[in-house]
Order: sequence, then structure tokens, then C-alpha cells
Amino acid sequence: MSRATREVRTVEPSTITRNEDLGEGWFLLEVHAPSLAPRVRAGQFVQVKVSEGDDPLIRRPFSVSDVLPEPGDGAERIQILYQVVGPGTRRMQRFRPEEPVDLLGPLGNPLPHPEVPSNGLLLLVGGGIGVAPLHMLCRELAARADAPPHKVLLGARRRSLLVGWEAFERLGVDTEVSTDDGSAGHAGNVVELARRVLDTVPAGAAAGIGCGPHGMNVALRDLSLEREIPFWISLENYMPCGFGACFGCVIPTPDGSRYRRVCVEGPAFPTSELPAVF
Amino acid sequence: MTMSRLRSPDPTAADARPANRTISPAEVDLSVEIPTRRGPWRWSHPILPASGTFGYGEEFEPFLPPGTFAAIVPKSISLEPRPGNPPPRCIETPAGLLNSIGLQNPGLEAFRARNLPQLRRYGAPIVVNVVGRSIEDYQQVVESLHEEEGVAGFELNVSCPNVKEGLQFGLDPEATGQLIAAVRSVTDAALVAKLTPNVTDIVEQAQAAEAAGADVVSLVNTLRGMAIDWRTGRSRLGLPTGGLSGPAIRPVALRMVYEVAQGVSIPVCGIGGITDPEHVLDFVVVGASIVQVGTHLYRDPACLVEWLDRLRVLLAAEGHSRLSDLRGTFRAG
Ligand SMILES: Cc1cc2nc3c(=O)[nH]c(=O)nc-3n(C[C@H](O)[C@H](O)[C@H](O)COP(=O)(O)OP(=O)(O)OC[C@H]3O[C@@H](n4cnc5c(N)ncnc54)[C@H](O)[C@@H]3O)c2cc1C
Ligand SMILES: Cc1cc2nc3c(=O)[nH]c(=O)nc-3n(C[C@H](O)[C@H](O)[C@H](O)COP(=O)(O)O)c2cc1C
Ligand code: FES
Repeated sequence: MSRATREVRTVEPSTITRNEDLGEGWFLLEVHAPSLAPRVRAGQFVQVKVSEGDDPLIRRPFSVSDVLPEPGDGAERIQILYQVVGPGTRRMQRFRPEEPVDLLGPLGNPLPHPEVPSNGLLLLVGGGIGVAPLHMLCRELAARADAPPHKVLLGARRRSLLVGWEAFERLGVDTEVSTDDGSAGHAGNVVELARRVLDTVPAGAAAGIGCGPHGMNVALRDLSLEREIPFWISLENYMPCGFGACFGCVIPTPDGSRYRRVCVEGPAFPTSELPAVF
Repeated sequence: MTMSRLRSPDPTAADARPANRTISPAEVDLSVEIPTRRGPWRWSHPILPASGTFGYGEEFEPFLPPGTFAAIVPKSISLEPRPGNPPPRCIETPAGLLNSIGLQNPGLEAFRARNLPQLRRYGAPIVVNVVGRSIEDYQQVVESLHEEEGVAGFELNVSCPNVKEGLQFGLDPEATGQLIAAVRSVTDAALVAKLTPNVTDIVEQAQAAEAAGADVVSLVNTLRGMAIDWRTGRSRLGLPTGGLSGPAIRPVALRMVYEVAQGVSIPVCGIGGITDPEHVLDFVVVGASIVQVGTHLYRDPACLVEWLDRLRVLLAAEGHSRLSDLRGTFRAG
């Protein structure tokens, strides 16, 4: 019998260190997970067991928004930024420090670090819960002396929903925001803002990563294809397993000939590989 | 015998337990023996993964050696590759999962070239789950794999609710019998007939499979169900209906295994909503020889190792030294 078990992901019984109410239905969960944390890269996610009972039954997937104290070998804790939207996240809302929590991960592929020339720009566009993987990516970029020039664009309906804004500012990342009601930054949606920012970047010198609500992802995909910009979109399809076993999380290839599993082939895909409807 | 203590609330009744001595978990024998036409399957325990929930094994490598399972049942294989159904393919429902995966699979030749060598490495016997659009499809897949090293037999999916063609066989005992007999005519390999619960009388199906030459019947596949959004008037899945699995179906599966075990003389494999070693024992008590665990593997992909220990502890605590002693001990009275 083969006893070789790939040391890629684990089910790690971990301890909650913090579960903070950020307002507007947003929470920050921090978990002491010393064997998992050092292996997490931006864009990867963990499956959280939200209940020991039968309902909710399936784990819930969440991007890792940060690892502490620093990404890499010394990391001990992971952070998850989550929005309460249904039974699973309502359970998580009741998590308390020092309680155990069962995490499975890290899952999925890391986000790329797209390179751009020094006069170019790597645009990181986040909306809603999509800010989590981008925050982790900014942490990785901050640790690189040769990081490509990058800028974060955040969008929300109103100022109070701009989750993570301060966290990006604290990281010292160049950040611009947009709100539908104009209560902060650009009045309008974040894809319009992205369009404007891209107008200032020399042709062929931009790249981007986007993660947000479905409508935003579609608009970003269209923008990137129109401007021929290398661009990745991180998807958040419903994921029963998260590790490739169920074929439940698929998207079609652009030619519609086959389905790909978002959990193991993504969760981020180059926009050129996304189908017309995803 | 074994169940007598259930009748008495007297705590000293423990003295009347079968062995009348303390049994240590390490002594407990979980082994099973399943007679087949090519000789018995002798396994150290009764737990297999359910087809379609274990991928082709490799997805589980990070969590446990896949060969820890008594045998491996990979995802259904058809003669030709199948793209599967349009998304969304899964939605959680109360204590269950509704899916319309649509039997996405790489097809026979890719399975042989890529997945089979991989599966062999795990060391466990492989029970290849087969699905087809016609009797000839099933025959061809079985004939082309039955001499392959590591292949211990076939589970014929005559029950998937998602693809019309598979359904016909499972719904009519005559058609089920014809399919099993036709496959039996081309092989002496072990055949497991996997039955659908979406019938009025599952015992008829099981008996038809037995009469046609099945060595084992496994049940249940998923129960047909729906989840819709009344506001849009649409399904929450890519197709109008899906198949329900998980704890929600366990009582139905247990009842069906109970009825089938009484109606056939071949071994029964119990499937449906098992999420705990105690559920394994429930299925054994109503007559299952072996079991498959499906949906739960998404939640706890590494559970098996701990489950085997717990099974021994549970059995020892009740004075049982052998799992097989418990089989079929359910008392209706
Ligand atoms: C790779 C990945 C990363 C994610 N990262 C984050 C994150 O960093 N922060 C965060 O708050 N959420 C994230 N999500 C979404 C999160 O998993 C869902 O919000 C959560 O599962 C909802 O569970 P629930 O039981 O509370 O709600 P449910 O009752 O299951 O759903 C409530 C609502 O949320 C929608 N929903 C359910 N599951 C998902 C899902 N997997 N993706 C998107 N929408 C869903 C449903 O359609 C429904 O409208 C991520 C999802 C994926 C696949
Ligand atoms: C996502 C998913 C995919 C499945 N795919 C298959 C399949 O390819 N072939 C098959 O025979 N059964 C398939 N099944 C059914 C399971 O093997 C099993 O019969 C059923 O899920 C009930 O067991 P459970 O409640 O433990 O999951 C699938 C089930 C699920 C949840
Ligand atoms: S979530 Fe199961 S295969 Fe992707």
C-alpha cells in the first residue's frame, strides 16, 4: 500500500484567536493554524467546517486575507474576512476565541504575480468579499523588493461597505475607491474607475487581477479583453469539496467543449480562458 | 443473543453480552468476506468510498493513503467521455446535497491510460463503476477492463438519476435483469448492481439483479429531488432536477437496505448518508455486509482512519469481537 501522502493540504484542528465584528455584516476571523499558515499563498482558500452537525452540512470556502505575523515560513495564524449571508456564515458569527475550528487547506492555486514594466501598472480590482485574496497578494508584493508597480481599486455601494480599505492603506498600497452613491472616492462603479486608471497606463504595460461580485467580474473580463490586457479573475463558485473530488464547481471552457473544476484549476483564471457566460 | 440486552433496562444485563468477558478494541475483527464468482473478496474492514465522491483517488492523497479503503470505487466510467451537465451542479439542501453532475468522466480509454495505473499504486482492490447508454456500452467497458491488474470487479450503475439512459435499466426489474445478465454473459468478474431508490419496490430490482448473476447489490444511489427559486421560477441547478445525498436520505436508505437484505441471499452494500461509524453499524445490523461513504467525504476526507478505530471501540464496548456477528441482527419485534 502506498503510504506516500502528499504534504499539500491538511485537515488541521486549529484554534480561533479572534472573530471581530467589523460592522455591516462583515467579520474578521483569525485562527491559529501553525502547520497550514506557512503554506498559504495569495489566492488560496480554506474550507471551514461551520458545524459538527448535519446542517449546515458542507464546509464553506473562504479566501485567506492575511497570514501573521508574516507570509512564509514563520506564519502561525491566518485571517479570513467574511460576510454573513446565510446559515453557514451565521454559524461562524458565533465562533469565539479559544474555541477549536476545523480547517481544510490551503486549497486552490496561488494567484500569479503578473510582471509589468516600470512605467506600467498591475491593477488589483476588488469588490465585496473579493478584497480578501487581493489583500493577501498585496502582503506578498510588499515583501518583494522588485514588486511590479501596483494599485488597488476597491468598489462598494457606499462608504461603510468598503471593507478592507484601511487595511490596504496601512500596507501603504496605492489605493483608490469608488462608491455607487459617491460617499467616498469616485462616484460610480469600480469598473469605470478601472477604465479611467487604465487610460493613464501606456498600451501593453498593464495587467490586472479582479475578484468581486459576478457582475463586476463579467465587466472586468470584458474590459480586459477589449483592451487586450493580461487579466485574471478569481471565481467563487459554489464548492462542495474544494479539492477536486466532486466535479460540482465547474465552468465551461470558452469553446464549450468541456468543463473545468474551479477549485483545482482556479480559483483564478486568465480572462481569455473564461467562457462567455460564467 | 446479541440483542438481548436491548430488551432489559437493567444495567447488570451487560453481563449477558455475547462473549461474557471484556473485549479490547484491538481484538475486534472488522474483516468481511464477500463471495464472488472469481473467489471471495477478503477485506480487513467494510468501508468503501461511494462512486463519484472519491474522484479517481488522487484527490484524496493529501488526506490519507487512498488504499486505506477496503476497495476503491472510482467515479463512473462510460465508453465515451462525457462532458457532464451545465452548472450550477450542486446545492446544499437541509442535511443534504442535491447534485446534477451528469456523470462527467474521461471515458474508458483515458481511464485505462491515466487513472487505472494511478489507482493501482494505492494497493487496494479497484471496483470499477460503469455507466452506459446501452447494454453494449456496459459490456464493452467491462470486457475491456476485466482482465486488468488490480480490477477486483465492477459496480454497474443502473441507477443514476441524471442521465436518462441509465435510468431505464434501474426502473424496471426486467430491464435491470437483462442488463446484468448481458454483462454476466461476457465476464465472470465480480458484479455489483448499484440500485436506484427512485422505484416503488427496490426489492424487485435487487431480486432481478441477483437472478441475473449479480454477486452483490449496492444501494442506494441518490434520490431525485428539486431545489427551486420561486421568485424566478427556476431551478437552483443547471437542470430541473438533481440527486439528493447525505444524512437527509439515511433513513430511506436504511429502510431499503433492510428490505433488500431480507429479499436476496447475496451480500448487500449499504449506501446513503453515512457520516459516523455508528451509522455503519446501523447498516450492518439491518443486513449490510459492506458500506460506502459518499457525501461525508467532502466534509471529512480523512475520516476513515479514525472511523476504523472507533468502530473497534464501539463494538468492543458492546461486547462484540467480530463485526460480522452483528450483521442482520435487527429485530422487528
Ligand atoms: C474560493 C472561494 C473563496 C471565497 N472567499 C470568500 C471570502 O473571502 N469571504 C467571504 O465572505 N466569502 C467568500 N466566499 C463565499 C463564501 O464561501 C460564501 O459566502 C459562503 O459559503 C456562504 O455560506 P452560507 O451558508 O452563509 O450561505 P448560503 O446559504 O450557502 O448562501 C447564501 C448566499 O450566498 C451565496 N453563496 C453560497 N455559497 C457561495 C459561494 N461559494 N460563493 C459565492 N456565493 C455563495 C448563495 O448563492 C446565497 O445567495 C468564497 C467562495 C469561494 C468558492
Ligand atoms: C457529487 C456526487 C456525484 C456522484 N456521482 C456518482 C457517480 O458518478 N456514479 C454513481 O454510481 N454514483 C454517484 N453518486 C452517488 C453516490 O455514489 C452515493 O450513492 C450517494 O451519494 C449516496 O451516498 P451518500 O449519502 O453517502 O453520499 C454521486 C453522489 C454525489 C453527491
Ligand atoms: S468543489 Fe468539488 S470538484 Fe471543485
